[in-house]
Amino acid sequence: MKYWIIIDSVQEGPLTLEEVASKPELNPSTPVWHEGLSDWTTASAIPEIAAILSSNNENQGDSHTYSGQQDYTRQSNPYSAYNSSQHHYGQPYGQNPYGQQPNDPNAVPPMPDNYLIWAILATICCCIPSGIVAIFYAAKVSPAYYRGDYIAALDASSKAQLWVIISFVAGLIWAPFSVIFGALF
Amino acid sequence: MSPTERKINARFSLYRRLLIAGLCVAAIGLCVLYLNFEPSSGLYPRCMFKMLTGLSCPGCGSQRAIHAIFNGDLKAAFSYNALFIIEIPLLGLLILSRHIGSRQTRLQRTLSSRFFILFILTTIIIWTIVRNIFDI
Repeated sequence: MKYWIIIDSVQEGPLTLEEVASKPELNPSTPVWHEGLSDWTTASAIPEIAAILSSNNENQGDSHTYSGQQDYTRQSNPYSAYNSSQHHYGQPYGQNPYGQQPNDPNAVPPMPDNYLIWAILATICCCIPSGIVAIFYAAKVSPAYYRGDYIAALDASSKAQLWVIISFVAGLIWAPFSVIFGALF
Repeated sequence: MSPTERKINARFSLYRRLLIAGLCVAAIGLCVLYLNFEPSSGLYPRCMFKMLTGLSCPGCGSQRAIHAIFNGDLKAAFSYNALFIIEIPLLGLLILSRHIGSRQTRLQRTLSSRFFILFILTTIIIWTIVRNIFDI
């Protein structure tokens, strides 16, 4: 299995598990995707990468960091030697990153969520200015994705998510106060 | 499967199950609340925008509309907040399109297109202006 990761807004992949493990910047919140996943997730949500992360933590201070982990990654990935020479840095997403498997429909990561449902709900649930910003960013996700600019799509997606969260948090903070005001006046 | 993997999987699924159970309980509680109590009685959250500006926001009236729908009065619900009633089926369609098939279907492409989303945005803005001019 091969993995795609995003470090410092630069997407890298396909990488083998060993290559992912060798990234010094890897942390539990690093965005990761592999074939079969419907969307990007974090490193901590993928069991095999989470296992590497936790073993890194246990061995902190030890200079030979993954010596214990090496056997495990070899076992689970028999093609690692063959794949380790392939690096595709910042590959545009409209194209297929798998040179060898052009017909594999899963090879292109899926479009990031545009959070449109939540953005509409946030707007209707009385936090208009921020809800409208969320809808505005939701509109930018799909054009960027189909243009092949995956990073821009991911950026718009996370901004839409941020404004949805701001809207709902503001609404939830406001709700109890408004009940009190309503009872007083 | 290594012990660490198993631990992570177990914790993840337990957390998810608790979250889903909690959300179901909250949803049922809210339904019962909105079915039995009229939202203008004072114990419900009020709109920040309306309290500050005196104008109606695009969502004003949706709590009364929910109460009216639960009591089978679609006409009253429509008069409280027409846009909200129109957008319920739209939200249903959006949720459905996420869970049926892959994200590459034509429906999914249409619903996430810039044109469609900006259309929704324009509708909401026009609705806000119109309802404040005609006092709907």
